Amino acid sequence: MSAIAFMVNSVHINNMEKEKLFLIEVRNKTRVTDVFGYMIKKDIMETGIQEIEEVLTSSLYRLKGVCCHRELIRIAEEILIDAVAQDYFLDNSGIRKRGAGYNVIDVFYKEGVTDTVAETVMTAVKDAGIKNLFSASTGKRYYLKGRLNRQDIETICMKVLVNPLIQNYSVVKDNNA
Amino acid sequence: MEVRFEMVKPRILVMRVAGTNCDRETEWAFRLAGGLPQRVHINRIKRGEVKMRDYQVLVIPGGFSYGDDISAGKVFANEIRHNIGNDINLFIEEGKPVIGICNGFQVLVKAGILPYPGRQSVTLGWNGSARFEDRWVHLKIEESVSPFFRGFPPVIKLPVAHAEGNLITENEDVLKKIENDRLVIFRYCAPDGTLKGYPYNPNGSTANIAGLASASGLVVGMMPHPERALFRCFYPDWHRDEKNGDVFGYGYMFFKNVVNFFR
Repeated sequence: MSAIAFMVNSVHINNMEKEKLFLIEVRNKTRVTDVFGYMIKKDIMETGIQEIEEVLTSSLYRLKGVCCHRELIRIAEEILIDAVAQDYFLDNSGIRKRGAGYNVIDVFYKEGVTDTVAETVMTAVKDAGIKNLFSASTGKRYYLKGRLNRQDIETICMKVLVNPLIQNYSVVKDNNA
Repeated sequence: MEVRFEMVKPRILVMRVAGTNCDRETEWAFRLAGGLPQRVHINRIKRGEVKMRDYQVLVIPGGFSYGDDISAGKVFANEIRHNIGNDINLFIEEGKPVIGICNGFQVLVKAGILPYPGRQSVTLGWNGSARFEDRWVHLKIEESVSPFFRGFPPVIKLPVAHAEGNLITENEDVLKKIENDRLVIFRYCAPDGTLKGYPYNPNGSTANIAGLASASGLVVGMMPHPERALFRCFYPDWHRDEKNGDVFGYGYMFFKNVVNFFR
């Protein structure tokens, strides 16, 4: 996959370095329907925002460790994706790959909130014999298409995408900017 | 002197991990059908306390292994691949049946065991409805390579309970090969046996496929739960069914066929 060329902080292949933060985005291949995106679009329309045209979703994995490039690719390909139905992207290359016209929202748990999926990821990584990963956290990425202003995006986040008690969100790409 | 021959009772390994929740029912179903089942946590196999070679059938029952985190069956599949993959390959090479029910089916396909061993060529993705579908469905029995579904009527009913049962093939060629090799054991259908979409097909599965077998027919995976259809009285319409004089349901027939395979 061409997207493997992108990585946070430019870790070199097979070159162990000090602890770094990696981001892996996992999403359905284009031929596989994003059923959650469809359901979220319906939820957004129920808030009164009719301008929403399309919602697509991804899973995000933030990994901290001293993994080499080869280990990172193994984590992505063997543990995080379902190769038949999903692709992965390192860093934010997935946003570029998605094309123009999308607002992009990332949602992660607040610090201190138990992230059970991340704990399972750590178990699976250790089971695969990879010892250089120290922690993981999981989140969701939402691609929103439509003529949405900033107020619309904030409404969508607070009413549909985010539980503000336990989650933070960030607008990674804002078409109004 | 009267000589009596004891029927061979196959030893059945019901493998469980954190989140498995249909292991007791599956164990009970095999015992009812005349087998000798034992529930075993995968860690005991990994530690060498339990040897797979001591068993004739391996079953991966339903449930939510590791909370369905990442995707359903994925972590369990990797655990199998990394720790006991060779044992399972040997088990299959020796012609011993391997059965995956619901989450077990998800594990078998994601471990690259079903339908073709070596690499993953199909998956079970999220239901098209984006919901957990928990209900009885009609299934059209296909003339497959598997010996465990012989003697069934053309259409049966079994319950499903899953969120990720939408069978997706890697490409059209894989689907064609599956069809040509007669690996489809049954398909979701309407009560009259015709193949239709939702709600008859509860998850949007490609070609309405509800279960697959390996080329030998001895490795089988299915989304429906036969262990929840052991008796006719389990069926929601059993009072109205003309056949309600029958004691056993179609789930029992499946378990009985697996046990009888050794007789």
